[in-house]
Amino acid sequence: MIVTNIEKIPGRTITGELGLVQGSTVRGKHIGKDIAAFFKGIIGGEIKGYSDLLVEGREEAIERMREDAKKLQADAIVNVRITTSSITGGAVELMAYGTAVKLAPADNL
Amino acid sequence: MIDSSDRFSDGLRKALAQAPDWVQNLFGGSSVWDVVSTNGLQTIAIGVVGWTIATLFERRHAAYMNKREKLLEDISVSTNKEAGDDAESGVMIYGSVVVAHDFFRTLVIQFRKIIGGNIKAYERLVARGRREAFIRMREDARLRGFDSVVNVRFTGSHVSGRFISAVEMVAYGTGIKSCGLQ
Repeated sequence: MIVTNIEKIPGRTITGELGLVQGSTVRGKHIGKDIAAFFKGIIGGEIKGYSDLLVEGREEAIERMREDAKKLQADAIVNVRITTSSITGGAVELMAYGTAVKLAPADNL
Repeated sequence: MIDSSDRFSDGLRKALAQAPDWVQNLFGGSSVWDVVSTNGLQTIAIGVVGWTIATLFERRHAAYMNKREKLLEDISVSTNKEAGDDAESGVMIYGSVVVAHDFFRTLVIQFRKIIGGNIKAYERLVARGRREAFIRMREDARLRGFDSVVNVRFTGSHVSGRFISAVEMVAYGTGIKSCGLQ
């Protein structure tokens, strides 16, 4: 499954659109990370625990989007957007959405 | 029924009961104002130490980013939606970072919000976060062997933890590998 955020797949031909696919996840931080973040918050800078958590969450959201596209038997997802929103203290929602498309066979260049 | 996280926070509460008052206030979810008004001296001490270290770290981080940016100069970046005719393959890539203020600047910002206007400390923080995210995206592109990134977008959001609040900055785009047609 190829994922891009432009309107086409370089080097391939899109033969049909299958519609919107999306994946999202809500992640909470466990209290240990929050305590570490509290101490890091005294001096500021990058909060590594949160950075890693959000990257994991985003990978998960993209993976779920791919599964959604697989159900539609898509070959690729184009025009993908990712968003983050803070739901409540200690939890974030990560979301990825895009358009599932069918591709012509690769050797058809 | 008590699950493990409840037991964990119970233990934490017990440990906190032994701690000095001002630590309890900090963890007890009191507002910044309460902490400052009841424990002025300790707060200022932590604040000044934190601010000094934060300033040093910020400078070091800026120098580190300068160094990495120099290595990434040859990766061309644009907001074009077109990949170019010689594009061979493309995959979405992103870079993200969560950055936060130190304790002292958080206090200063509370005061600054009363007056309004440009909050310089925040401007610097988001600029720093965005630059780091942008660098990470390009480093990812380099790692995967892409020579340009198109349709770059920036987003960000506020991430609130239990004790601190931070900003997340994301840069994403499509990495393109060209086959070198002239």
